[in-house]
Amino acid sequence: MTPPVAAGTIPGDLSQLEAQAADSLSPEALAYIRAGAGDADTTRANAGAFRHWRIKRHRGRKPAEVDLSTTILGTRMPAPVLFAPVGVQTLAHPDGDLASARAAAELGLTYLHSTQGAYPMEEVAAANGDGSRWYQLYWPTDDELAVSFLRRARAAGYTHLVITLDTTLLGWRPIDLDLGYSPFLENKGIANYTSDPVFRRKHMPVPAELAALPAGIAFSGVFQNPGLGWQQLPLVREHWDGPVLLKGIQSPRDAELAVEHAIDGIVVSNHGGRQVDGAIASLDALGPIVQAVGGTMPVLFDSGIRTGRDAFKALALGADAVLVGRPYLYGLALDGQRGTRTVMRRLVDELEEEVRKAGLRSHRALSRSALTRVR
Amino acid sequence: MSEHTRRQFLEVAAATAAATAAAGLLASPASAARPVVAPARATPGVPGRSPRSPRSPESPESPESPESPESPLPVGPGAPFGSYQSEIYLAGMTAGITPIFTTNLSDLEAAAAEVLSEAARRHLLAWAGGAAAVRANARALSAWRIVPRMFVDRAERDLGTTVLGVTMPAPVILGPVGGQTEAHPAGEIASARAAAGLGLTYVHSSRASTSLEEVAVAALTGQRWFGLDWPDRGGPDPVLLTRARVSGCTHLVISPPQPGQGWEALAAIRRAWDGPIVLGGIQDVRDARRAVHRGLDGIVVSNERGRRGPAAAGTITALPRIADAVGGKLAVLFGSGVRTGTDTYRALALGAEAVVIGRPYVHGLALGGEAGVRHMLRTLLAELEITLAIAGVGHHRDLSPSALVRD
Repeated sequence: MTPPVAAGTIPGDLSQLEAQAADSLSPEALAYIRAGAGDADTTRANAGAFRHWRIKRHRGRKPAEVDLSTTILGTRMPAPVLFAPVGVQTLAHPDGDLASARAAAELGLTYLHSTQGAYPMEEVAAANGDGSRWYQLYWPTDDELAVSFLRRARAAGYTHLVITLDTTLLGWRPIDLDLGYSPFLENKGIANYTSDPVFRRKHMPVPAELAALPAGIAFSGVFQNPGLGWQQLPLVREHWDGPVLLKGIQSPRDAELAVEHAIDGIVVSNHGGRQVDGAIASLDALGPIVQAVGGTMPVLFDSGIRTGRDAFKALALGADAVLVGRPYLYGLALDGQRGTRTVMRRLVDELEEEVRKAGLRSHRALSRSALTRVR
Repeated sequence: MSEHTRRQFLEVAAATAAATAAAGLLASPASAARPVVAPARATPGVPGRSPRSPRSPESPESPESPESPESPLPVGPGAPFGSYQSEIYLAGMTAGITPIFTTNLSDLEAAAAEVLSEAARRHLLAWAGGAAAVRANARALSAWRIVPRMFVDRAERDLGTTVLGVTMPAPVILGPVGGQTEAHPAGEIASARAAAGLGLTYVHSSRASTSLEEVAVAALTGQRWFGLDWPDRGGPDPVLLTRARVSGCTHLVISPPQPGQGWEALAAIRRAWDGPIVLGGIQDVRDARRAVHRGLDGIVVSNERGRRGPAAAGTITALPRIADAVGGKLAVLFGSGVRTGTDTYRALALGAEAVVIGRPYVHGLALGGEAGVRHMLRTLLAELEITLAIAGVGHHRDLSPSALVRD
């Protein structure tokens, strides 16, 4: 964690980030980033679930040094914290994912590039440089396009594939719908598609640079893929020789199925509550899934991490690492690349301090006994 | 053609195509019966929005309809209910048209409160059993949390079902609410038309402010049932029941007897009505078993008019046990506190064959007449269909309590 923390406009209390960033965002951008499905009850539940756990006070000796480093499926990480795949980051800042990918590289943290990225995966890879990067796939209805995405990702140095399963359709998001706003229909967040030779040849009526809407409509046509199922996995294995993770797992049964299908890892996530309203909190799903998997594959956690304390709790409940999404986007909105870096670094620093206060040298020694359940 | 001209041309062509899609927004997605066109409210020049391509629907008569089979987006008649989402985004991004009112159905009551009279609000609250019952029902429903399943092929999305011999495009019934002109001048006519346009069943209340015949004429193609209060000592009014039958109502939904009323009237109702009979206000297994014993065809699990006072536990709490006890012996419907697609999902998972909604559609009526009821219904159905798909449910009939956990 070499770069100095820029105090800038990032609030000291990371839970205040959203409120602080709200002023820097257009109503449409704020809506898109904040949006939860339906009444956002799942998004609230995600946050609420963390409040049901308290970190126990440790009265013993505190180590001078804490080592947060870890290795997940062969990827060395200075801390068990990854940049979650986030689409359409230009809504927060013109530099969008390029800035975030640079910030991740500066911190040494792994960056997950979203298929819904605002810049093509090759440009993001260039910005990420020698950094560690994984690729997140929304499986399109056109397998040839999916294979093209995989080939490009491999060529651009993405080492791991994360397939998101919970977004075969876009969730019902009232705050976007009430504004009648969809970034994709104005050619935002579809750069991976419009830069793809297969998409351009087969799906795009006119170049997106000339007319945004037809490109957006063509994108919607290949994006919605509710027919996705386990039977498609062989195609991925055929065209991707690196580790494969499944993102969006909330049921222990699905975690077991992932094991049965020889998947390399899973991400317990409900997409920040953006997909199904009235769903269980992602943190509540974590414990039973960790138990079901029984250490046979790494379990990553996503949905609701706002602070280092939150990360501590997810790790104590059995996650091998956590993904952070909206916070770094708010950092991006407030102060570009520096803002993103500041937020993620502060979160990692907070985590380090919590681990130290718990009397542990490494987060890997964490267990549920570090927490107390409250209602 | 210069690059500038070419660009302009393409933008206008795109806007025109999309404006046609926006016009498709006004058509029914599920029924062959075309509803009356709903006036969507345009909100031009929303402040703070970034400039986009031309958004005024210059040429809505364009022959280039995006509803053609070549269109990658399923919008317009025959499309799944979930396509309402694409329609809204397209209308917003191309023509600046935003939904007639919010798409968050949890906010509907508050929005409607601003346009409803105090008397109308009291009437609706009483219909739902009072404020305490409404709160208890909402709390009890939201305690049931969805556990989504992944990687389940949901390419075929079908909300269709058959309830008591009636084929329905979705398991949602508009319940009997009286005095709807208090909410909107178009009253029951608007609600019945919106239901008919979507192919949904509408229950006409004997306390309606519009006659059976007027509603029948206004919504001729619609599937209609008749909602009747439990009759006084004199027994049911045979003329009223005959009128209901003649005007096209196929099923009877009766409210349960009030304190002091006996069950004697049931025999007289049976004599006067040869169609299926559904009894409302069922709140426990004992009542449900009684309904089976008395030969009723269906029940609505509900706290209709707060018959037993507000049940602190919420009416949904009783549903799984009732469905276990009598499901398969008669149709089990659920009718208390359902506001959203997620609530519908919950009730279906806990054993209801269909839900009966009341206040949400009257709130829609208050906010926008027939177009308001349609928007409310399409929102609920889209949310239900999308939620089923994302949560990996093959068909809503496959739902079981295991799709939920209780918080």
